[in-house]
Amino acid sequence: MSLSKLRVIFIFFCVIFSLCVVRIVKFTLIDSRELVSSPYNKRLATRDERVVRGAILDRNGAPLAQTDEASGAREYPLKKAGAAVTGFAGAAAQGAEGRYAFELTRVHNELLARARNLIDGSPIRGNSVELTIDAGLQKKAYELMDGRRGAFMAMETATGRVLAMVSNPSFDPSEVPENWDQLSGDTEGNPLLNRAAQGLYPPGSTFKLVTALAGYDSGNAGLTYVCKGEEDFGGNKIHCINKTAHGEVDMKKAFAVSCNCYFAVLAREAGYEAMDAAAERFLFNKPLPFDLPTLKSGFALDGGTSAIEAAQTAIGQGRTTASPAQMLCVVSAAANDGLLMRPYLLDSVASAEGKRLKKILPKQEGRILTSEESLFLRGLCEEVTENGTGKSLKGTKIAGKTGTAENKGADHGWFVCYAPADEPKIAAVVFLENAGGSKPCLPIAGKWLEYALGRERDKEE
Amino acid sequence: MALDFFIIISRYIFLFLAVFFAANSAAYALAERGALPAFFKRRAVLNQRLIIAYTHISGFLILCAKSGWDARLCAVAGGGLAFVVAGGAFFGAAGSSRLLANNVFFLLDIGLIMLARLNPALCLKQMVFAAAGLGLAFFAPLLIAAARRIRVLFAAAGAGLLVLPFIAGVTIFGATNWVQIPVSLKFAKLSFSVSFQPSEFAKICYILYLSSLFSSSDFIERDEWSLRERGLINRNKHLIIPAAITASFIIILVLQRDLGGALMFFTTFIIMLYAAAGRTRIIGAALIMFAAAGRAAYSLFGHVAARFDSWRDPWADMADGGYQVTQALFAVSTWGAFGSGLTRGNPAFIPVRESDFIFAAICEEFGFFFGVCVIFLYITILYAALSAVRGRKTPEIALSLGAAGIIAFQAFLIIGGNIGLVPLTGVTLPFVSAGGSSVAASFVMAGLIMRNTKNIKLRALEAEKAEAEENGEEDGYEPE
Repeated sequence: MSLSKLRVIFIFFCVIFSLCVVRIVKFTLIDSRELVSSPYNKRLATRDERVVRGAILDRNGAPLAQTDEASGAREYPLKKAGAAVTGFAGAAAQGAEGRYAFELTRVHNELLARARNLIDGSPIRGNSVELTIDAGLQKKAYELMDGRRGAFMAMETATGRVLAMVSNPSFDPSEVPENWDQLSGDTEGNPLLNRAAQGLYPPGSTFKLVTALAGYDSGNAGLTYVCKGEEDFGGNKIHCINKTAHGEVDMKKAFAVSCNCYFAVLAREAGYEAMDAAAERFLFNKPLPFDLPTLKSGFALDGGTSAIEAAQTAIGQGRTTASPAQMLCVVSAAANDGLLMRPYLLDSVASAEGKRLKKILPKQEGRILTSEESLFLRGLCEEVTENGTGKSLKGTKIAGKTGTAENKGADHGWFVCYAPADEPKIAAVVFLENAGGSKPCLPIAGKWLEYALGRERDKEE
Repeated sequence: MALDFFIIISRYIFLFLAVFFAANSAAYALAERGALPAFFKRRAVLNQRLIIAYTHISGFLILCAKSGWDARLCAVAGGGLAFVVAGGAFFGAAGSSRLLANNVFFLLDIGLIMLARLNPALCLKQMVFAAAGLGLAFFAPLLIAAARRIRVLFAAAGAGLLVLPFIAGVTIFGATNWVQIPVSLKFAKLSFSVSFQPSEFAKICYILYLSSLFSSSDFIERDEWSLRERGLINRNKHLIIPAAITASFIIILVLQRDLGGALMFFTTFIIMLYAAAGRTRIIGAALIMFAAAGRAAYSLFGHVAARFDSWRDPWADMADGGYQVTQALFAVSTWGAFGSGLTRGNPAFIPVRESDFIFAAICEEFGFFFGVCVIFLYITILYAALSAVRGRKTPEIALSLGAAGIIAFQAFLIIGGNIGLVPLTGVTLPFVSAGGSSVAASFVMAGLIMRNTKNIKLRALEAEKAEAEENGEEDGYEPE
């Protein structure tokens, strides 16, 4: 046995152990930042109780959640209005409290803070996180929702910064511990479910944005059709709302008046491959990128789908499901020249003393539409509020798409929109469970967007 | 409050001690190769012994204080200190490498601290079995001599041990590689059961068998695995038979679902064969065989496929298949580079933290930099083992290489499994993981390396001579 062979073996072991070292260092320093906040990491709930949990702030520095140093109680100034954003702390933590538990309980210059605590008893404070949320806009959205069951979410189209997120029925985060059994046991109202990110519903006619894209891409943008209020698909019928016969319609008209028959036929003309491709581009059947946990929206269409099922899918019924956050991404990408910005909630992390430790920058999720496609869809959306189902918003510079989704109970109402129509800045989604239709959604979006744009202007001045 | 503060500071102390320990290993190695004056060697050995004592004292101070100065724990702490200091010195003095003895005892001590923190009863048990293993280690020369004469016996003993679980096996974590033997002593009215992991001891038999085979007198000591040219070597004897024996061992272990064990035997065979024969094509052939066997196992056994899939993306299934590894990864990464501080983490969330996942538990509380130092200890053990047989003859080299290779590869398998680098196997971390069989067998293996020479007396004389030379050199550095 010569030494050179032993050297080969020794080097082999050095190499495999180096791989271990590289893996540990890379994982711990780079990959784990996102992963440690996973709800499966039970450590976050049990970190040192002597650390005063850091504050959750809105984009102007106003507190959304903070700990009272005298009593140790966690306070939520927005109460029910901010619950979808803040969530609550504790073992089953949710929302920002759960997602950023790691940062909130981490102490910058821990040794120094501990030493000071030993000497003069000053508290050991965790880092604070600043969100993209605007407390004023958040409150406004909650007020406009007026307790109706559903969800509201809005983001800046050019950056993906989420400005407000509401889910009803809501709960007061500071009272979660004492009301835990009641809140978690309420399977009917499900107050702890963040409907904006994790509620999956049939998207109804808002899905026609996807069908319209499939039609445009398959060369059917010029398709005209005479609507008689219903249309036959393999022996089963698709109806327009109230069986209204829309007469001869082109795509623009059909989109504005939300003609189901037209879009069902359009999907048939386009073919399921074009539909699949369009849905995929809008991130259906893919994990939705967001800071809070989301559920995958579903879309299923293939060669074996029956004609009636394919027709239902085309108008956002059948097996199609989407979360409000998903539909917000769809409309935001359409408004932002086809570029989808990743919706995000965390703006920056700062130490308890206010020193900024980390700043999150907007991230492109991807160019999911071409400029032409984006312009085409925007043209359709503008027509909705000009002459279509959103006419009550005429003159408000808002463009969008209404949706009425059939389900077991009364129809769900949807409105996905953006404003200003000619130069989109903010996209929003209003979803009302069993509201009977999209009508009640329109004023909520209208008033909120007007308020939000007004605030933007004030800020700029 | 003050204790918490001390614990947080202690994280830096532990890391400093571990880094300093590693630096001393490096200084020892450099001095040995003449890059540093020889007295660095002795200095490094002394420093390392002090580091082990400091680490032990700091760790157990924290644990005892946390327990409210529990009398039993304090006794374990005191006994443990005496054991690691005296045992380490004794082991080092009686063997061929004090560097290796130090590294082994540092690992043992880190394990003892962690076990005392997780479950004090296990710590005591671990010490008892370490002491037993240390005792057995002194009989290593007897084992070696026996293997030289009747190696078939060792192959048979290895096979017998491996088959044992089929007769009196217990299934733990899906693998049937434990044996429980009821013992009843009628005259003393005592009945209890002894359980142990026979594959741990089968490994010892196996390397003794293999090293004896590869060093037998008809094996050429030249560098050639020349079958036809010289006729000195017998293909059947040196390749086919050991390969067949190894394959049968591997099949037995796969049937017991002990994939880690199977991989251990495979790798040991390849390493020793390569060292003996020196043909690079052996490694190539081994890789092809490994890939083919792995592919076959993936499609044949559901549990292999599940293990492999959860390794590829543990995050996809955090609740079930990926649970163990993701929990370990959370433990390693949640607290950052310096860890949570001893007793301040939540290793209780890691499954099988006392044995399979003890590396993750160590990283959680001592920090991952410390974990990197632990990895360095295994590299040093391998280095020390190979360096101790430098200039020796084939028989000694083969044995040391086999024993140290098994220790290092087993460490790699389970550390890599803990951090998701390789698919998880249920092997133990040598000298650290809780487990009587494991720690005792590891010590016997270290004993084989330490006392691996035909003539211990001669060895001792040589050591004395070397010591005297060192002293002479050291004196020479003093200005007159």
